[in-house]
Amino acid sequence: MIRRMLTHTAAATLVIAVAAFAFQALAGGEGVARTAGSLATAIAGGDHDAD
Amino acid sequence: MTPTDPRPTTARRTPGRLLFLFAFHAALSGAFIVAYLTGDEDTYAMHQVAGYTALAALAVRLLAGVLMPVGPLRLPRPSLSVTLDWLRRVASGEARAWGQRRPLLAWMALALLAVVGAATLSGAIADFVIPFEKLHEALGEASLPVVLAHVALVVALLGLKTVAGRRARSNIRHEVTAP
Repeated sequence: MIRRMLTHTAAATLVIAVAAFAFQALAGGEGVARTAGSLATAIAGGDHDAD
Repeated sequence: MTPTDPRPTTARRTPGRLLFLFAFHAALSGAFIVAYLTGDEDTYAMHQVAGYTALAALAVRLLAGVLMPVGPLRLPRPSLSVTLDWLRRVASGEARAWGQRRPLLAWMALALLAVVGAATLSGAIADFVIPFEKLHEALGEASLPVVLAHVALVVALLGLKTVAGRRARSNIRHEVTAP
């Protein structure tokens, strides 16, 4: 049951991440490359306070 | 119903309801992971999508809990007396308590719903009321330790159940081989 939950979580994370990425890249008009760069910086930085 | 089982006897774990719980867990945890990783100014749109997904999952879960107050979809209602009784039985080495449904999970579910719910709701409010941003950030940071504690608790309880299973099998073998 735990394995099934983990599998579902991984799949949902992927789907939500792709949807969010597409939203920012396409609907937000930032483009795929720039969004990918921002995402990489956000994940690598690990700092929530951008100010 | 035993004293350690907080669920009513009328609880029916139908495949559809279990699937709903799996879907809710997947949507909320997936949205939380994405929202946490994108909590940066440059990934704000991604953060919004993940945050509103988490909010929608929580809203549907709360609605299901309100509409179905009995059964697997009911909202967690932990009991202090049941929890203390279970902890006492676990501490005294009662193998049956180790493998039973653990009341600690209900406390953890409640803590998760409260903290993650507050973080999500404050994020939605902060979208329109800027001063809420600091509160949202603080709640978001406070959510991670609770989520990690949830993972640790699940792993620990799984270990306890595994040990209980081994002990039970060992006891059966001893009974069979005993003269």
